[in-house]
Amino acid sequence: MEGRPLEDEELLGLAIAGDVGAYERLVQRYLSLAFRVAFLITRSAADAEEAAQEAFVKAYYALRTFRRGSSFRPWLLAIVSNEARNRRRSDARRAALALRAAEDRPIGDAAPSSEETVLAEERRAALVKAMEGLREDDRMIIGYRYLLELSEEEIAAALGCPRGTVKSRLSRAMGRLRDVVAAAPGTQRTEVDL
Amino acid sequence: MNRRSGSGGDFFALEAALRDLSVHVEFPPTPAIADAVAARLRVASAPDRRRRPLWIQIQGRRTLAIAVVVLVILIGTLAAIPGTRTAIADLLGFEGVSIEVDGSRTPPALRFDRLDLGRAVTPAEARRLPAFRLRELASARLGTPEIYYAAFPEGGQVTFVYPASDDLPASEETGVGLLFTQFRADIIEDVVVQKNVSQGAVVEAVDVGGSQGYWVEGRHAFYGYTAEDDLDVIQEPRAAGNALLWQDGGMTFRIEGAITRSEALEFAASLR
Repeated sequence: MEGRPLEDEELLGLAIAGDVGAYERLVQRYLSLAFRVAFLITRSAADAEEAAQEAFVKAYYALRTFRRGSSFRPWLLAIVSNEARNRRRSDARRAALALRAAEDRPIGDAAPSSEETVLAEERRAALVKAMEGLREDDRMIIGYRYLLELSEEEIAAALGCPRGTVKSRLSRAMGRLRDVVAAAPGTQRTEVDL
Repeated sequence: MNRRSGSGGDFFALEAALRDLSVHVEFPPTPAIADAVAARLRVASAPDRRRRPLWIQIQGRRTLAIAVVVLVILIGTLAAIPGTRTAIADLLGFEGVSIEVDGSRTPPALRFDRLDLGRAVTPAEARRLPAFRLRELASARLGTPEIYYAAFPEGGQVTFVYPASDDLPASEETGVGLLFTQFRADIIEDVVVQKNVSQGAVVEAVDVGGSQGYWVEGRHAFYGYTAEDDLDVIQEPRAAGNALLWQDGGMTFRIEGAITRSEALEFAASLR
């Protein structure tokens, strides 16, 4: 999902000149994305909220270093991910990714058979479990790419890695996820086409 | 029944499964923090009604009153910072220092709470970690410090935090007796130390044991040390009390506390 570059540019210009109202509109626009990136890192809604808030405040003061004409999202996400990493607690307290209940289907979907539903839910739960078992870098890059649909540049900014390495990192992470999924019990059954 | 096997189809299947997952993952609801952010920033930019003219003393001579002055110290070569620089830098004679007039922003409100000094370290670590030889203050007035190390700016930064005592009153801004910070001046190209000198604060050039320094008297906003592309070290400005800043032997030193100019110079003279 791209922002509307022209409007962002205008808001940024006003914010850099000290217009807090304009910055507030920018915050509204990027709040959900910032919070979700932070949540993927902290796995605590409270910590993610705090990280996002601090990040937006710091970003405001750092606007003087933002290169006008370049993309705002990656720049912001680098700040957000820094704040989130600073607030990350031990793994033991990490909340798992929640899955929406089966009833929350998009309107208009033809109702699947109950067995398909069960299988699909099991598959998703297994995939979440497999992701949780990955090491952090792999988990993050897959989450950024597939759960948040970040661009290559945004992924690089959020991970703090060179942009040129994103594709290979993602590819290796996918390989490791595939291995985990393939090794998980019950995988054979869920891959079966009926 | 079809059983998929082999690695070829797996990545496509995995990608498809992940895309499907993304539709079903439920993130916690996005908190409504936009107005909290704006509120913090608005408090920070509210103009001070008690605005008084600001004087800069350059080599003892009072010069013009300026509403807001930003003291910008450029370590090494001059970084690309908008605004007038070089003409004034020569006047001050401090290598890489310039005073910049910035009327566009009112000074931010100042917070006292956190000092982002890095992590607490032992004296041995404080000698080992940075890319410079550690210097210490040897005054009898100073108690046992806590020592902090931060990896920025490049080469590292060490701060000694001296407790308040009968002999050394607590600073209103930091709550401690004295802060003494050092980092390398010569290897950093893009580090900018910004002090926004607020109403009533005075900046004065001083001689610190033969080296050029600056004495800032009065509460002012301290931005901390930022590198142009290094987002790790962005800090909200904090309130700083009286401070002495000087460069010597490729290092930048800073002393801050509820002290007078001559006390600051005495501490500086005790540098080992």
